[in-house]
Amino acid sequence: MNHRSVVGAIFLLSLFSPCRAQKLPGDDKVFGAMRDELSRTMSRLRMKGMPSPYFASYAVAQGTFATVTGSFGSLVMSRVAPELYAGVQIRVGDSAFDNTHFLAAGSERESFVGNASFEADYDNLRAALWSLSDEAYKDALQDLARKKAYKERRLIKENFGDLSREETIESYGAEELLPFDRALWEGRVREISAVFKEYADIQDSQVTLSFQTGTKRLLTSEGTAVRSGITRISLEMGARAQALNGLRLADSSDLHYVSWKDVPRLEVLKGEARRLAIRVKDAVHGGDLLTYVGPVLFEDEAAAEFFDVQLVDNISNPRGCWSENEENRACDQASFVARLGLRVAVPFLDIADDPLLERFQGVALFGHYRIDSEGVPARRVNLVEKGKLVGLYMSRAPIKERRHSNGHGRAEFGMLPTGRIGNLIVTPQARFTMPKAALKEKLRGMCRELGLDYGIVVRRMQNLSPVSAYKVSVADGREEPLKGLEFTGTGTRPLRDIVAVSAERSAFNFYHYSQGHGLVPASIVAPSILVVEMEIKKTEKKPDLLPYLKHPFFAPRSFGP
Amino acid sequence: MRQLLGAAIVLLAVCPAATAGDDSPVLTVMQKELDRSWTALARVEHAKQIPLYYLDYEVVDNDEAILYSVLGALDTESLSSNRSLDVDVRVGSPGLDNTHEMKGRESWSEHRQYHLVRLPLEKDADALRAALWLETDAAYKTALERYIQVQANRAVTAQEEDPSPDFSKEGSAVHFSKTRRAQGLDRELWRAKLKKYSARFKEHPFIYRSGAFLSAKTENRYFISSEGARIAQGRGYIRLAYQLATRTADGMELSRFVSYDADRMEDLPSDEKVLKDLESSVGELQVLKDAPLVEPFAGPVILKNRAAAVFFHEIFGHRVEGQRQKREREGQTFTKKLNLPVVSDFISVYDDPTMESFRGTFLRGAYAYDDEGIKSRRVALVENGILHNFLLNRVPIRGFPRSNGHGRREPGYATVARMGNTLVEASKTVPYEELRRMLKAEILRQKKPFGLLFDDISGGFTTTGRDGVQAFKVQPLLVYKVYADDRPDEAVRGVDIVGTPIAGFMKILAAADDPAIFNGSCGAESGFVPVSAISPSLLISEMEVEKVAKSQSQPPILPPPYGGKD
Repeated sequence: MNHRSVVGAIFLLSLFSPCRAQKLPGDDKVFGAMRDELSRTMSRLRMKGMPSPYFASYAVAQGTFATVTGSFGSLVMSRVAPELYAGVQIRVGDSAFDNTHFLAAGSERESFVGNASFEADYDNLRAALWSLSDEAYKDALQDLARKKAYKERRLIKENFGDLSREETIESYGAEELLPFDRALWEGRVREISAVFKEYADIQDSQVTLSFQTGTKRLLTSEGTAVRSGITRISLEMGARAQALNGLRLADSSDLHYVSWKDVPRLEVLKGEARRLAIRVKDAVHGGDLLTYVGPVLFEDEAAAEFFDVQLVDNISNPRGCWSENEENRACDQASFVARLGLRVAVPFLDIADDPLLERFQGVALFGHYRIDSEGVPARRVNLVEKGKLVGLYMSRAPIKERRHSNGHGRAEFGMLPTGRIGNLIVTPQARFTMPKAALKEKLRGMCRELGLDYGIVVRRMQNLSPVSAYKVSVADGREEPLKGLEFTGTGTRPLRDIVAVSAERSAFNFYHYSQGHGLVPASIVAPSILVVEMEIKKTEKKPDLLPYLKHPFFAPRSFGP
Repeated sequence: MRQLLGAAIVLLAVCPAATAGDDSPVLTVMQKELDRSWTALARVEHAKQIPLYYLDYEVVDNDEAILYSVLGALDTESLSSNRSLDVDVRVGSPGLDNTHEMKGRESWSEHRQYHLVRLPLEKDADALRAALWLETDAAYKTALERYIQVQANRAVTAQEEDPSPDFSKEGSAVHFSKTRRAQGLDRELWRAKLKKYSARFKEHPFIYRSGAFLSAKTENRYFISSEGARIAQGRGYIRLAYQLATRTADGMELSRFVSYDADRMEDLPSDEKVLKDLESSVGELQVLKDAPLVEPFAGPVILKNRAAAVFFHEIFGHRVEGQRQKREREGQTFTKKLNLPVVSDFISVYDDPTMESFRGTFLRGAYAYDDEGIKSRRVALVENGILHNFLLNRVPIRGFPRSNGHGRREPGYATVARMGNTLVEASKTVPYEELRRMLKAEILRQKKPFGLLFDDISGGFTTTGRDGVQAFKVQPLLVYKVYADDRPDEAVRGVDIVGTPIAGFMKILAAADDPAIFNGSCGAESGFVPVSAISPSLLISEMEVEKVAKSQSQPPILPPPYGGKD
């Protein structure tokens, strides 16, 4: 989010009052259309013999969306278009028991999103909201009836409500529309993607710039109105290769920014592409590992990915939902809810989430926001204190242990918000830290004591599988790349098995995904970490034949152009 | 299941200005990589047991502008370009190769799954060759693996009814080059026009969904094969269209869709014409909305020219596609009807992709060369009621060892035999008014209370597989009851035409002298391809209709927020 967007004052209104009239900016035509249709929905949308909505919220995102993709020095796609999306949420029943947090089998539609005129035409936008509201309302009525039946049949007695009472706010940030220099970025994408021409081991690579800029509006029947500017710039690079034994390898590097001025120079971006290429090249020539049981060092973004899998996923979406289809993972409740007050990490770690933090050591944090997707002001939340779990990510979905939102109700546009990450900040107690270089020495020391010839350092992970890992020789500290590794029997133990962390911390920006709730921008600030014991084995994946011909660009000249 | 979707599919074309002559640089790059692969793959270890005998590349360049307006405002405005690649590899021999049909347990397995490959858009040879190389390698390995499966499958399953080879031998390789440059679109002008059209629907709150769009597309296809073919061909597709829909209280979705196809902007109709059509579409939808439901009925009908064209495309055309005469799991409705009457004796049916227009109107189904590099040609499928031929690609069938230039596909799919421009012709015709008189006489003769007039049909589906009933169902959009006396025609709704194919075509009693064109996109195993169908209005002695399956949704609870009522 760009700073300009957040200059609007936030008026906190002391009391929750249904259908309170907002003081919308008079010249804001989009809000005008939203308000007029919302008011009609709340006052007149009702089927005979059925309840009318008790809550409705409308969201509109309007702006420019661009995607430029290149490969091997040439453009594959380039698209820039103005767009406008409308999203509607309707609740029937009451805040104690409504149609939400329930997935009916066969109709697992949780979002009502459509596109409307990018010109934000009054009639056109109202018509889009009208049509979505009609569908959402009819869907909500059916869900509420089925949810009631589900509750009876499953003998569910406990109920902590479906929508917590929160203060309403009005916040009117400036509209935003950053420029997009298409020719410049087409040129840069070509150049960055051409970096892979230097690496004969890489079979296929792609570089994509995604850019979105615009203004988001949220209006609820409770009286919350939020307008904020939003810009997201992502440079996503991916490379695929086969190891010498044919095993397929893939790695990626994604960079995320919230304004053009944060995007580094072309040379720096090309440097990132090179780092990725070198990781892949190393893996191509990497050795195999049969089995390893011993200490593992997670460096930089691998450490961030470690916290994402080990902690974030376990404290997100604490409410979960009821699903007629029990296989649906979108309904999973955070597994750490039952561990509140218990130790989940080593005692020398404090972990908080602070969406209000805009930068860390100069790096703009992608997970920064001021108001969440439900119109609740973002708050810093202590999650882990001295290793004990003290907080969860809360949206307006109450649970037994926590009855209110802490400003972390987030979702991709138009999807149902749930408790999600913003900026996760891991803070070790200073006396347990050491310089990053010393961590590697400590790894070697521990391995020596255990009688191991080498230790393992992981530099990049995907879903807790090491994508880039190296053997570190105990004898001389030399590194040798590895390929095709998997952790086994991991469980939740590793967070409690951290023995040392680096004094240096780095910020890792990414999109956090959650089934049913989509992608949200997020950041993790974490030190590198040394875990006392992990089990690693060779991947179960089978290799493929290598290509019959050499890559035409790297082939001997006799075949070349 | 195949559909002829006139609506819904946004295919369009811009730009006239063909640039004949020069070979494209893309072809040169394709040629280099094909030559390198062809030579080197012949030397690999596997080639000793399983030779590579055929390789082709097809690259399709698309430039498309789309403008879409709803209720007087622009919803979409996009300009896009993309380039796709298909690699076809054949290993084994033309007699038996990796594309051979699998039977029994593995009969579900097509030789190629949908696989869309996006290529770099620019001339940069390095990037293009890198992509060609990777796809060739993957396609070759898949072909080897499937060939081994084919051999095993053949050994353990019953003998095939049609022992024809898997790939035809064709004449000498073709060189052809006539590409087309994408041309600009006056976007300012078209924004204003579409807004004007779409705003008209605001005056009619009973319309729940509506829009007007323009799509202008230029498509260039580049084809190169190990047999020496080298083809570059371009075509423009422009479509202006509008749609409007409503829903009845009993949950029936009703809609009207009108499109105008051309390959030059100046051939699109004037505002005056479009607005006039639009008003009559609104009128038709209003009448339909208030129309009574029709009960199941069997009796005489007229299929109005465009409706008849769709009907023939759907019910007849798909059943004479070559692969359906050969595949063991197909119903093979017409396979054994060769040289026998299949349609009333004054009717002939042709498919002629060489026709670029018909009486001055653009035909979407035209092409010079098919997607296997075979020159398109007019094929007489039925002459005077007798079935003479099938639509063929390079997959031979019994009695037809060679392609007749109908191998077509959407990028990403394996090519099969498809229609291009399907023409229904009658050797004796009457004026349309006379056809109506004949209908009334037939109603009296059959002692029916009324007959039906099908004014517009939206396509539908036809099951050709053996596992299903050999029947079809098409969805009429605009149907009238016609009485034998002087009562005016009455619109009815909720009818589907049902029936079995062989019976239907023999019951054509007469044809009018009013051929009209249906331009659309047809979806089948090889994806969506642009097609046209032309037919006169036809009088059919008996057709069956049944109630349409409808949605259970109610109309919106509140009226639309435009139209001045709220």
